[in-house]
Amino acid sequence: MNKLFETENILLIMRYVFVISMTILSLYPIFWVLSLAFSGSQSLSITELPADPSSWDRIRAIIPWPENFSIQNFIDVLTEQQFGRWLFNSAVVAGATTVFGVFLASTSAYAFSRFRFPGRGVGMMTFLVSQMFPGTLMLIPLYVIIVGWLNLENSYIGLVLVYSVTAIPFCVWMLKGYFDTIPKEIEESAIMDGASQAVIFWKIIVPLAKPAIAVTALFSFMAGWNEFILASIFMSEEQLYTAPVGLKFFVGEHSSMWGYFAAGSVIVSAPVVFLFLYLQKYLISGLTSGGVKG
Amino acid sequence: MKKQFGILVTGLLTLVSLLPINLVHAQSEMKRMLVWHAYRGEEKSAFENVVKRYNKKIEDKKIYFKPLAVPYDAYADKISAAIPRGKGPDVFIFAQDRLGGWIEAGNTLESIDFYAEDEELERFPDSLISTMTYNDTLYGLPFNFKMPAMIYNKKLVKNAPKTTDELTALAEKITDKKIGRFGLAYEYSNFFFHSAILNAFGGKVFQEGGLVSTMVSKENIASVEFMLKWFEQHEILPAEPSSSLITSLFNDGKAAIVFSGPWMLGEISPDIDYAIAPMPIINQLGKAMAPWMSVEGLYISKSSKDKEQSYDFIKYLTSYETALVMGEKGQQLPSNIKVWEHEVMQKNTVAMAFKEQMKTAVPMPNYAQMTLMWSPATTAMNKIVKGTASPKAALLEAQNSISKDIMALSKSH
Amino acid sequence: MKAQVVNNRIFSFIVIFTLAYFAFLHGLNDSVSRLYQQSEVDKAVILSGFTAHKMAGSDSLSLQDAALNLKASNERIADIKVLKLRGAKVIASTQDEDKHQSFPFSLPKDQKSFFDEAKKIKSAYGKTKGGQFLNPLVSYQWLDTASNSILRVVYPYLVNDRFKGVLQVDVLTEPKAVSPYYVIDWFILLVLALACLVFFNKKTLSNVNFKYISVSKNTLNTSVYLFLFLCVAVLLCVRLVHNFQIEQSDAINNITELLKSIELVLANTDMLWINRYGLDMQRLDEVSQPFYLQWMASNTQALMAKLFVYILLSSLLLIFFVSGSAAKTRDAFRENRQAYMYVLPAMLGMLVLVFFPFSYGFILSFTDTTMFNESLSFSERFVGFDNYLAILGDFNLFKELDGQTIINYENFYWTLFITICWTVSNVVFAVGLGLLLALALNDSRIKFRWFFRVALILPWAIPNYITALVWKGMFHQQFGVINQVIQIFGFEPIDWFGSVFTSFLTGLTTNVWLGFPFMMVVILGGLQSISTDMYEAAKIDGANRWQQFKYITLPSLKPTLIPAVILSVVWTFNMFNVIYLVSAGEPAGANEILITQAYKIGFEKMQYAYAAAYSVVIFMILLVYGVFQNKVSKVTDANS
Repeated sequence: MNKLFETENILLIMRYVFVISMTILSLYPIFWVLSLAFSGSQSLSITELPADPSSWDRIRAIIPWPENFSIQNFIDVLTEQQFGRWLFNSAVVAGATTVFGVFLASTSAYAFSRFRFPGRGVGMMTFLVSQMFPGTLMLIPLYVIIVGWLNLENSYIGLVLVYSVTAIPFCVWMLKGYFDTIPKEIEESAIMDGASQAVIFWKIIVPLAKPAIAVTALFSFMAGWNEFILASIFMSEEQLYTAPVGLKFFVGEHSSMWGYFAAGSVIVSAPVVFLFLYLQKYLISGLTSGGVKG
Repeated sequence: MKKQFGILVTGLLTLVSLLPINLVHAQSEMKRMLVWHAYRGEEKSAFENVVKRYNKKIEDKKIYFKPLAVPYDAYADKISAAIPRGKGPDVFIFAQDRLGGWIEAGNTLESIDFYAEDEELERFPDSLISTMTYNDTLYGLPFNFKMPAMIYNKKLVKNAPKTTDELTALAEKITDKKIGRFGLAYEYSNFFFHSAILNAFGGKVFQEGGLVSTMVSKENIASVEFMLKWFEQHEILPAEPSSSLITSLFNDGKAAIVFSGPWMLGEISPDIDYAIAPMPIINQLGKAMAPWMSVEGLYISKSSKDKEQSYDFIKYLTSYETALVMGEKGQQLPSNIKVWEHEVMQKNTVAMAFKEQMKTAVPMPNYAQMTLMWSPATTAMNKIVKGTASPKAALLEAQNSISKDIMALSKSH
Repeated sequence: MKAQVVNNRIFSFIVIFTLAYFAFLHGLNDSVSRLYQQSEVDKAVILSGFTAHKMAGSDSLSLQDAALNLKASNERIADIKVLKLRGAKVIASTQDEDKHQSFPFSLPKDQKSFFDEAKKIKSAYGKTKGGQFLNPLVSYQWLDTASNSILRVVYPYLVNDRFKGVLQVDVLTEPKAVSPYYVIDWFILLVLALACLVFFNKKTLSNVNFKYISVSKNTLNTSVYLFLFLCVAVLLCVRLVHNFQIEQSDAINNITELLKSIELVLANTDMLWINRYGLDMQRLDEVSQPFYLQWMASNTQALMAKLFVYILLSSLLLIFFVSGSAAKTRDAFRENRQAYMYVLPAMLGMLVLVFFPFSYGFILSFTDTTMFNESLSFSERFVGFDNYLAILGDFNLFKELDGQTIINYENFYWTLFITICWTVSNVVFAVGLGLLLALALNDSRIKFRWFFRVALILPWAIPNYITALVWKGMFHQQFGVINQVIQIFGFEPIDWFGSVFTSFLTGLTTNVWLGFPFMMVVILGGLQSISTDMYEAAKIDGANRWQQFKYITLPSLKPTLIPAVILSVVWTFNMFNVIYLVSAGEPAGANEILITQAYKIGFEKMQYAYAAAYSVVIFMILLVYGVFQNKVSKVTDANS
């Protein structure tokens, strides 16, 4: 009995070591971004190394820490341009993309998972295939559709449409896969109770699929949140730009204000972190039993 | 409670996203003309200020110009997408490097030959007018110019070197690879910066007309060998140079001299005491280094609703009073030569140093074929620097590749 | 029910015939009106050339008189206006509005388009000196006035072979005659169609069983319908082409007559317009005949090609309706209305925003479009499969440099090889890391799990433009952090971007770092579908950890994991940013992947069509992979 606990413990410690080392690896480059953002200057500083550096000197050199600590970069980013307005635009666009995309994807995914109809396989493949054509050549045709035909220049809707379409295929496939794991018996018993198809979908399926919906919501949000090129081409009013467009102002032809860019990036990633903090409660099961599952 | 909040947020988001944004300018009966640029910071506010002044001037015409800043990375794509489809700006600002491409593609730029009077063009130096000219046709008015010059750290360099021999000697003294300090730093593997040596040696990347690549000419080889001496023999240059590395080195006092342009000044940290001088004379030639000059032009778009008014606007933007504002407040190097006699400009040592550099600078060619050159040239320079190919072989490879691409383009005429 | 089927067929039959006939009518009408326009333009250009020649002979003082004379002597010349390019001065004009002007005078600002045309013609004329014609030397424009149609031709004005300016000649055109053929065709068609219908309404075919082949009633019906339709269509086509040729020879006779009437004058001039046809004016008689025959043949071919497409489309439509597929589709839709309603909105958006750009790229890939010839018509740019042959048929994997044989990194197969290595390694590492982390973080004994989770998704949350740049900096030979670490352990610093493999690693590391959080989140989501009861049961059965993982965790993850893997293969295959920002394909383009290569071809080399073909090839590779993967994993059909 004692021995078992020991192997358990060793495994647990191994897990800790793994998770902690991965966390350090994933945070390390971000610390460089942070150190640049808080340095108050525009260039990453190159660390002082004496003529004959010892290992200790080198270790000190690789720790990202700004020489001077300043929040000037943040102040400049937020005041020089209407960055707040752009963040708001991004939030509207990414938020609407999330709502719109997840809604459309979940209904489609439900149909793919629960109904057998002609064209089902082809339909599923269509969603997948749509991701396969390289986007670099899509710019002009998309401009023709969104601005030329639909007249959606300077409108949030144009961006929401395009972003949803980029996000939907993954969402459909992910949700369909997840719906497949929900046993049919639950619905069948609901039908016996006289529930309509819509009730089943909204009251039974959607609540059970919360983890998958959380994942797809995060994904859809990111699809709209960090996109730059389409937003800068479809929007021709400065107050309608999104945050990534605003960030790119700091990258010029020959020169770039990397300090501002880093500070802006930190600001831009904050909402994503908060969204994830909110959504992650759906991604925790731990040891609680899965309720109706199984 | 929580659920209701969620529904509320969702509803609001949907509502906002449905709002017709054209409200912003729908109420005005004034005719709106658009002008696109890629400025930010001081340059942007100076430019907006100038546009405001012009709008005041033409108030009674019921027309106004509205500036829009576009991030540089998306700028060319946005223009290529919008203007040929009848959308986009009336006037836009861009460097001359894209000029040839847009003219060959058609439907983008309006020639201004018809509007421009000879007296109006006299305000610019001929070299600037030549950058706006393609196939004997004038396509825009030069707004300002830029080119690399020698920027040095006053702490490390007392007097700016006048010749390359002086520069090399000084840089060798300063360079200490162990602590990562270098006498000279610039993007030597990028042809835009290498052009300073190339032009001094009389090298060219294309024959006149842009249809024949001359990468492997003996002048070009000599110019690359000259650069290689700095890198291999004198070891005064850092490896793998990029614009961000060069700024970092300079800001940390680890690069005494850099070749860079006015675009870098905003990134230099306030602790660094720097000065600017023209690039030195190459001793063996007796000629000064001659970097490519990049000129920002003011163009009228093919889709402009009122081309005559647009011309009047760009004429105003190059006038004396505007050039002064752009030079003083916008930190630009205005193309209107008269302005340089004004005391504000005379007192601006930074600007005057670049003005001095302009005397030797060579306008960068505006052939459409220029875009074919950059990537093979960079590949060749990297190979040469890494020692995997001789200058001649690497440049020959680049020339072959460029010639092949020119063939592919002309085949389809 | 049966009556309904028959009615359906009658209906669809009529619809198809009507459609097809309108298509034919349109095809002919279009061709004839283009023919008419072409011949009018030719005539107008000939007249302008004649005028220009006459004008060039007179000195500048009598230029205005010459113009007035010409106008008076030729009833088809409505107006002449001569523009000297330098200074934009009008040096002669017969227009009413210019009557009181004294020549020369400056061109008014509102006539700038005239100046622009002149400029264009001048630059085209400049280019002819190289012996090659890049642009037409003559431009024309239709002006529609209330009474008659005028062609406005702008023609070079040369004095002693020097380009002085341009002539603008307004030429009255002859009205277009109405074609008498259509009514007859209509009639024939109607009779035929009615005959078919009567015949089929009475006689329904039954199944036929030959010895070896059995043909169902439906197939037989369809083939007979199709056969009949094709008979009628071909008959019509023959008639149409014949009629077209009659119109065409009329037009040509017209032109030759005009040419003959002014032949004497033209004998000594270099007629610039004629270069458009590559004709020598002095040998007009011998040459013009064969030339026009050739022109005629190409026009007829174009018409026939168009008709062929119409017939093909109509046949497909016919088969769709008559074979009952249409009815089946409708029934399927009725039966599964709910399912389709659920799927439709997403599908619709998908089709509009994906299908159109795809077709655009697909069509583009069969042309030789570059920056220089975008404005040419599609048929002039069409090259068939040339681009694909150039991409897939290039096996020059090696080339000579400096006397050594080196790998040709621009070759498609090399790039494909790198792309596959890139995709496989990325997906394997990202999924592996994501899986391990998700499993570890699903263990409730780990404290501060929320912190780890958030920390681990940060690489996904931060804009990758800046983090890719930080990674690039970390790999720098002299100042990079990674080489510092290597030196701590006493090794020599590595030139990361110097060799193919190490440079590959820089991109790989960055992209795995950027990609694993997404996988982790997906797998965390997937793990929630597994009930802990299953593990409990397995434990009771004595399954060990590995067995639990293999028989419970992995199969339960499959429905969510497989789509994520397939899609991330697709995304990684087309991952542009990381390669572009980190290794930039170094050394010497060895580490370019297909998508960065396509970008370079399209946006640096300006060969749009070639880049489009590259993209289509990428698409095909991914499509094959997708279908294959789907077959193997059967994920579309998985259902517990």
